[in-house]
Amino acid sequence: MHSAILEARNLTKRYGDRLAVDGLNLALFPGEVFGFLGPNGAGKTTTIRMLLNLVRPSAGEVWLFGQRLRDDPSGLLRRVGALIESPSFQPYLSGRQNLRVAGRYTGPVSATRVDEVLDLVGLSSRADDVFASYSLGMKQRLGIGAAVLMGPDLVVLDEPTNGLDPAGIVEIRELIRRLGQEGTTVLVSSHILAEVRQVATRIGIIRGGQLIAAGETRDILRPSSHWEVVGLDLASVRRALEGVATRGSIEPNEGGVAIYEASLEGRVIIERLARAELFPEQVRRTTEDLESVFLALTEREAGL
Amino acid sequence: MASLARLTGNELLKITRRRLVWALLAANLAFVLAAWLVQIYYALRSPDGFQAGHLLGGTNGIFDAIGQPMTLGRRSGEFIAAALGGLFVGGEFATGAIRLTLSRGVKRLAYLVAKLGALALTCAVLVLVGVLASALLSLFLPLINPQAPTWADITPHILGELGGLYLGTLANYLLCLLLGAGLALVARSAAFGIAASFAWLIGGDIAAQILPAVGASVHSPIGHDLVRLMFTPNVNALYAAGLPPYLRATLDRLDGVIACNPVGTHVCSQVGLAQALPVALLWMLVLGLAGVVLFVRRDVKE
Repeated sequence: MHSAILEARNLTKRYGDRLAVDGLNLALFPGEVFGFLGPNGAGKTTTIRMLLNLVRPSAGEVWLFGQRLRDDPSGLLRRVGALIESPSFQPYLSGRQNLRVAGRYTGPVSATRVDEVLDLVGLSSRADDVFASYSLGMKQRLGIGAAVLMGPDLVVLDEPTNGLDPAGIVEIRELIRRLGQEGTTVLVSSHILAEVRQVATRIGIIRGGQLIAAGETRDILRPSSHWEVVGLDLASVRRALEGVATRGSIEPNEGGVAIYEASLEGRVIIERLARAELFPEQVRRTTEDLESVFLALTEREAGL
Repeated sequence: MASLARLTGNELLKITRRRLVWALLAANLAFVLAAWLVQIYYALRSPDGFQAGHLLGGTNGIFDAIGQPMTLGRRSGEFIAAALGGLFVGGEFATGAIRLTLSRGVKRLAYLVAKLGALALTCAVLVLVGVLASALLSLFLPLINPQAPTWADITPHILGELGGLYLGTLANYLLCLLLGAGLALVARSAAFGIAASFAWLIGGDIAAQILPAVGASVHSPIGHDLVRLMFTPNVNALYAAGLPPYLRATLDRLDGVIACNPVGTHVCSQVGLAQALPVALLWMLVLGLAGVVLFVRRDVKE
């Protein structure tokens, strides 16, 4: 029994001596928006290509909708819509014709449905212009339109907001949220952490072909913070904060001491220091941004 | 079947919406027209040009009037067919459109068959347009010379010969199409497919002149037979075999096909169906299998 919509089991891809994806395990459940994060060359695209049967795995397997992908690739992939890397269409066809062609790969598609999708991605006014004349943002919108055209159960979007202006990014973000609310499972691959954080319910982080973290977005990409006490020495701060912070969470820092105790409140620190007649130059809270969290995570896992 | 028909319809839509295809079709017509004008020029220059036994005279006059422009125009058609194969098969790799197609669950073999089927239809139209243009141009011959042949001279025998010419030309175009497509698949590039297939066609003309002599100089019966089988002629085998004997004997001077195997200084054995069919089938098999292996089995990295 498999309740997962999509499952990668021990997925491996080797190109000669290079291991592009190394025993990756991943599961997506119905209705969730899953963010797939990783630095360049981490193996994101190769993984997505294996999930879509564009690249054959060297080992491991992909399960879609409870069935093994290799048993019925054409039947299973008809239920998937995808935008892989840059949107790729026939440059000499119009947006409308390209959607018609893309729809007919999986089955008959009505002119009304094509119009609906063009409207959804904001391309109605340019529907009859050739694809080659589109801006990067318009191409991206058409790619997303093609992905959702046939009402798929699973949508795979690789860097969907590339080339979009801020208003376009918000629209696509809303579209992804809406797809999730309507019960469509979405896999979004992106390098923009803030973007993934806003739409994804769960995320997976890949580095060196391996999934190094997966779980609820709020747990993994929660910005972390710590307190810095400037102008005091380690021993006296540890003595003053005894009982409210563990010894291990207090470390020497440049010009003072750092306290890694997320739940500790600033006024408690100041009060304890004052009682011990310790008067620092500053007590300040330092917040790490998402990029730092991500880099720390990927570097720690890579042993850097 | 429904899915294959839908895929073929999709490919035909792509082909017909591409302006370049119409430009190539127009270029083919221009070559047929140029060939017709050259024919008229030579017929007018010769005092006996419209007399029996000459270029546009006698019982073969109407066949030549319709068939010769096609014969000369075929050279452009070969290159156009190879270009179409390279463009429509390799082009999808260049634009990355292949990712979208194959990620939708389209069966690769069905997609390849649909694409080549649609291109084969285009080639059939290409040949048909050439025949019709030649036939229509022949209507103007009596205006140039009252002794010129007319459609009234068309006999069932001549119709049969024209049919053979049509089918032979179509087979030639289809092999050129497969050549362009197969080479495009090797490098996953339209530019490579087009350039390499053009090089093959031009190189084939040169090889066809040289290799029989090489085969004869080696004095090896097997080598000679191989040369005969593969190079004299190659992708135009059925076309060469479908021509009337009097054209086969002198064809290399007309359009780059040696349809006559030299077996002595002055004697030649003409290319027949027994030689042409295995050559054409072998090419079809090699190019078809190459397409299947390269397209169906390989990863899509574009």
